[in-house]
Amino acid sequence: MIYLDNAATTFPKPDAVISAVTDFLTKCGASPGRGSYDSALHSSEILFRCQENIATLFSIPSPERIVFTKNATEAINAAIFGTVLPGDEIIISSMEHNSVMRSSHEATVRGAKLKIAHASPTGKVDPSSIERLISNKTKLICLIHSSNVSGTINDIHSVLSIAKKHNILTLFDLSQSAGIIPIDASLFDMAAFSGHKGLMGTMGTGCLYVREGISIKPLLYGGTGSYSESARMPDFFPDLFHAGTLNAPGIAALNEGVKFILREGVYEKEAEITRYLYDSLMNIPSVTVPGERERTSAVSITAKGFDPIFIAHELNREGICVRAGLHCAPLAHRTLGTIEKGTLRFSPGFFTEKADIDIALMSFKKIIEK
Amino acid sequence: MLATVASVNSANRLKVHLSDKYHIPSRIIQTPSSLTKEGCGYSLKFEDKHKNAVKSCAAELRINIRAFFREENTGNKVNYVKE
Repeated sequence: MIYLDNAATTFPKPDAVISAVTDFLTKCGASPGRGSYDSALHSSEILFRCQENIATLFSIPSPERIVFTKNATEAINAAIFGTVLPGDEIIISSMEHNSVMRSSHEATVRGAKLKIAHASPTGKVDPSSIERLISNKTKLICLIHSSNVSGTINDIHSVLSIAKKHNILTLFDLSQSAGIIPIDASLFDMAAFSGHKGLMGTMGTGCLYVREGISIKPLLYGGTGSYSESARMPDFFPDLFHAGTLNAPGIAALNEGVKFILREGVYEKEAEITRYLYDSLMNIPSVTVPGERERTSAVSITAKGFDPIFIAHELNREGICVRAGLHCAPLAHRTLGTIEKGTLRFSPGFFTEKADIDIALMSFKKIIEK
Repeated sequence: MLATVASVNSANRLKVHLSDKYHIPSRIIQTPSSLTKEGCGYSLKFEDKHKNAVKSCAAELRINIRAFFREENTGNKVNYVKE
């Protein structure tokens, strides 16, 4: 099997990630923040160590304000519904994933107003196009760092500067960039990211970072193992967002994934394999590759005269895993001009070799040249 | 001595920082129910002589220590005296 769907979830995982899950389930097993017997404390310490390692990776000044969710989507929902009130305005871009688009739409159902900044045909969002949409009612700017369709990387730091100038909150969706390109989140307001993509953890993990000083309500209410006599949620992090039992085996795995990235310095290898894929695809005459050469690992294409779903089906018969369709990002496909049939997305990962790309593209060419 | 904190997360941060920076060993325990009105709290247990270091460490981490309690052993019972 040649796995080229790392933009959906990375595979394979580092050995330490796999061991972390089995070790947790066979040697620890306890719920973090519940009880003070040794294994419960060990479980809590894993969670704490994971926050510390993520904070190191992204230069986050307050690790305790990194909270665990089941995925980036939950983190995005928590950020939007925790800060935006009826009457507020949200600005998003036309490259957003449905995790942002649908939750922002729901916010409009609840009385907020949505504005969309249109990206260029390469998927790049001009920060000034966001600034033009700002009004005195704008509460939140929510922007994808890197597209899950075209891999296009947005200039989030310029958007952050604009937002700070206007005293507006920002939420950056780092789902496609966390663990793939270096990120300095030290000045971010809020950031949401997956644990199972570039950070190499398992599915069922994600995170939301909320800067100190931001007032936010939790998405879930329930037991936290702290302040149990109170009917209210604790007002401190991470407990404010940790209602219910956490995915401790997944967090143990995520911790090892983050340590792997810190140790191995994966960025250049990922960038190199993505460039190799991009350049190889650009050399096929009937293929169009939306986006720019410098990107994260999503490389979507269209092949003249072919339905991407047909090609994905044929590649699957050869043991090659790619994803076709709209990738849960219809706005992005409208922007890129690929809404009609969607695209075929190849997304390599840290463990993808050039030989894998060569084999996959040989099969791809055979299909489109039949 | 016990230092009571809001959460197990704060207790972990304090414990690790105390060990790494001050080389002071400590242990996390569940706060005895007689010492907390809120229920389900956590405390850090350490030798009395390290109280000032624990205070400094907590200040560096901006962790709020709710109270310090000195332990007094009387037979097979432990009494906690608020400092």
